[in-house]
Amino acid sequence: MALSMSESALPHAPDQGLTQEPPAPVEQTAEEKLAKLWADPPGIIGWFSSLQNDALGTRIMGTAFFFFLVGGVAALLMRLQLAQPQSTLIGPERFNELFTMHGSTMMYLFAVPMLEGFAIMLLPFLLGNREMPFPRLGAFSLYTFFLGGMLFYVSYFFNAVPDAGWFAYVPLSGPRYSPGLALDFWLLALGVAEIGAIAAGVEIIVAIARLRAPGMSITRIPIFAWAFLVTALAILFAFTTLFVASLLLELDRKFGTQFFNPEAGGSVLLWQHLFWIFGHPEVYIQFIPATGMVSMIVPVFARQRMLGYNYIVMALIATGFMSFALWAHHMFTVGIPQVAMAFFSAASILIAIPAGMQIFAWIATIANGRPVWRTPFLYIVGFLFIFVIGGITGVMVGVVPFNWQVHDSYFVVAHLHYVLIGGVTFPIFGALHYWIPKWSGKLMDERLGQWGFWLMFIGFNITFFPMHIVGLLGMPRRYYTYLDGLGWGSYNLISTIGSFALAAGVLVFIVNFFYSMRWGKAAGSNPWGADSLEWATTSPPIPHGFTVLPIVRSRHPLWDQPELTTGEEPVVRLVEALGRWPLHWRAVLTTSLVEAKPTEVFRVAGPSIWPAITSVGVITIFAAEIFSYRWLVLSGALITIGSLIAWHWPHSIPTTEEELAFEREHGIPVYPNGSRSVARWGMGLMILILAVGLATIHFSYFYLRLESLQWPPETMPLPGLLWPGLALLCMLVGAGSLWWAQQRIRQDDQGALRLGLAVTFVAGAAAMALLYYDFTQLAFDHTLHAYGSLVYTLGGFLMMVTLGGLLQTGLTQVWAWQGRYSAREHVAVEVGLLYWCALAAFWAVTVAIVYGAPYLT
Amino acid sequence: MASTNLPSTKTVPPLAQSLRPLWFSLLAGPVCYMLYFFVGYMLAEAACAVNFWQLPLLNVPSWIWVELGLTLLTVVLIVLGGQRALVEWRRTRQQAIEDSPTRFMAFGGLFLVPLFVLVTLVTGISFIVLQPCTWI
Repeated sequence: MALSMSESALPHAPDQGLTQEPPAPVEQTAEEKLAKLWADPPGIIGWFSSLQNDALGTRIMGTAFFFFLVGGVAALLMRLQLAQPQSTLIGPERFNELFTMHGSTMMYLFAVPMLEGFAIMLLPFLLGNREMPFPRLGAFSLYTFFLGGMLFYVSYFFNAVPDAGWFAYVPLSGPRYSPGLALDFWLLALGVAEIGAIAAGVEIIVAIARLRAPGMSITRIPIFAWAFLVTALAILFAFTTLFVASLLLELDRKFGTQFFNPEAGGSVLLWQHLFWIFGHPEVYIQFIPATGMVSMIVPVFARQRMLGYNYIVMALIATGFMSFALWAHHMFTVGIPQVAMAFFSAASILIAIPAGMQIFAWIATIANGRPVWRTPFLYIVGFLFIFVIGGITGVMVGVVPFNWQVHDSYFVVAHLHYVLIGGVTFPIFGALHYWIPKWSGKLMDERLGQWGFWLMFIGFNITFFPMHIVGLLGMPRRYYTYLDGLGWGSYNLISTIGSFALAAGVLVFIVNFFYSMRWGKAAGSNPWGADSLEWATTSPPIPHGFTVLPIVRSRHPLWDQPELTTGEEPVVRLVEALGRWPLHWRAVLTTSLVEAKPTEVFRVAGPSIWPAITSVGVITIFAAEIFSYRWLVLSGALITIGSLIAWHWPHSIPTTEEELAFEREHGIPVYPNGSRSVARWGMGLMILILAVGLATIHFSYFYLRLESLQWPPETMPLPGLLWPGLALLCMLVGAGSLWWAQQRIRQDDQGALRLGLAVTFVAGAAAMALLYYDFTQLAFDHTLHAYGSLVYTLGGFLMMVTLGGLLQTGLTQVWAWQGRYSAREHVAVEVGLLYWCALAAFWAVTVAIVYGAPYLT
Repeated sequence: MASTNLPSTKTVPPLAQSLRPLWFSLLAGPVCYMLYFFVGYMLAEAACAVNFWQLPLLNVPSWIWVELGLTLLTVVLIVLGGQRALVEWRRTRQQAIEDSPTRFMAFGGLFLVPLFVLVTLVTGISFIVLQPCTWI
């Protein structure tokens, strides 16, 4: 269907390529077959089994928006309380709960999931492919996020609402000062949501790395995707650290470990370090994808190609790395060495360079263009205005002496809201107005959109600008009231009035959404005259996205390419063949990392209820642990393991003669039983997550060791080296055996494969047994001192990950006996070997640190 | 529209023979800096806890020499990445950056090297002017 100018919602459509048609179906029957193949199953079970990226993405976004509204109501209640001095509307305990729930909701349950929802919804269309690489992981991410968020709010029913702030500093959050269930809700419920965020991160990385349209080399990846690639990597590092830190604190609370107890070798500052290693990158995890959205919207509405694409991409990479070098600027007042502060101050100030480059690129693009002032663009310009202020105050608080003056004052509240609402929420609202027409097929009402924007923009500034002043006047944050006569009353009243204007803007958006869904104009495939591939599909998109995959030859394919299916001859033949040839399974094309050359055709997973059931198992574990129902924890673990096995149970499809002919003709392997490259990337990222988790505990070990005068304490004898050394040897044998098995299966030697797997299994089990035996010989337990806590926790970590390896190896053995592997297809063996190599490395490093390092003291 | 905005729909030129030097040039800055950051920071913390690091060498505590050495090493590694990037940048001068992943990665190296050298040096200066074990 051609997009005529009359269909374009924008005047002054750009000069070239705007009448871009979606690729015409090659053959009606083929398209119908594809649509049927990719459609979700019907009914309630079908709804929960759904894996379509647009369905999952919109559900994640809908859930996140719900939490945004709940968190917003908490903010309004706080503003009502603070509207006048010495107000008694809300008591101090309830106020503590409100700011905790507000902050936690916005940080964990709104911003990150909302952005990940955008990514899951958009990426396959934006990248010119048919699906995300691990659709079941996407479904798992949705349900864990939803259930974790709900569990967090269940705390109200038990009168155990978290009240220690969104950072849960110890000792306030420790067992002594928060003995009830409230902090367990905070740690464990949000822990579940964090698992969802990490899972989505894996999916996003692999999609961007390997599931791009042919020709979309790294020089042509949309900035939105670059931003999400950087963000998703940061999520793996940051959220994993927080998850492990939360578990350590929960161990302190429930199992008597001493990580954060200074009386027994622990440190309260350790929590602050671990939290902010997550907490500061978290700001960039929200900000970077928001800038990706801005970089997509600005050129479309400025009618001008994005200036400085190369600089923006590099600035994103630099920002992603540097965001991990800022964490202690939240700790300048807690007492850290001068020179250590210099590390963080330098990075905090210099990160303004890459951030500033992006700002200048956007401004230059707008200045060189012919801006069309529609609602999405208004939000982006609002973002620029607000974020620049937030960025400048960010540099100010990066300066140590200034930081000391304004720490924990309303100046910081103003700064963080200018960054997070201006820098994240405004782009999100702009992006909603921009992309809702794509996934709904309806345009949002423009007049209501502009009303909503102005209410939000004016309301926001009235709310938060006065907080700079009242903060400089000395008003501390997190206090439920203040005395009259301090000169703070009028500023607070203005802020409260502004907050309701801001809320009214959000309300207008909601009204606009429902109004437009009912009475909105049809959007057409490309209402904005945009340049990126998602606008080449219909609105809403067909289930499989593209019948004929596009071939990309420009950064702005819809502006520069008269048609999307021309290019190098072999690639053209390949994508046309994939369009004509629906197969009997959901076929997705993988491409190479740098050049995006086609590398594989593989079967992506189909609808399944198991991810939802796995999420139920996970939430059962965490919810039961809140109440210390250990039998229920065990039940949850069994559900999780059982459903994970069912989830991954292979449905082997023999390679047909037709597929082999396809391989020969196009010179590209066809894998009906899963992609090698996608599986390797997935396993590589899983190993990375585990490595980050282990590194977090190792960091804790070294931090506490440096803080202690004697390590281990005199009362605790040095651990023996014999049993852990033997256990390490077993792990090395296990990895070596699996390597041998993989070499043999490449020769189709089934017997050797089974033998190698068996040896690996036995070796791993022996390693666990040896380590367990060593634990029984230790003269101390985990409760005496932080050293003991670390020894047992690190050992427990090794046992857990090895147990996972045994499970995987055992299943592979079962499938090997079923004859599912061949010289051609043995992906499970390959990724299993990767995992066992990582396990051996984990064991080697940990044994060296825990058992070897004390002898060097 | 400026010439830099001309649409580019050319065929992708062949990649450099090996991608490893290009990845090194692209990632040398951020990766070396992050390693320097974590090692240097832990060492600064250790300097106050372990007497060994306070032993003087030429009237300067030994930890400062170690930190300055680390700073220098980091800068050298980052600059090596930049040098590799420069070679590729010159080699691909006939290619449009939008069409050439090689040139794009070389550009990335050239962009990131000065930024991370700057951050590393600014951090390194603190060892000369600040005391590690002074808490405020």
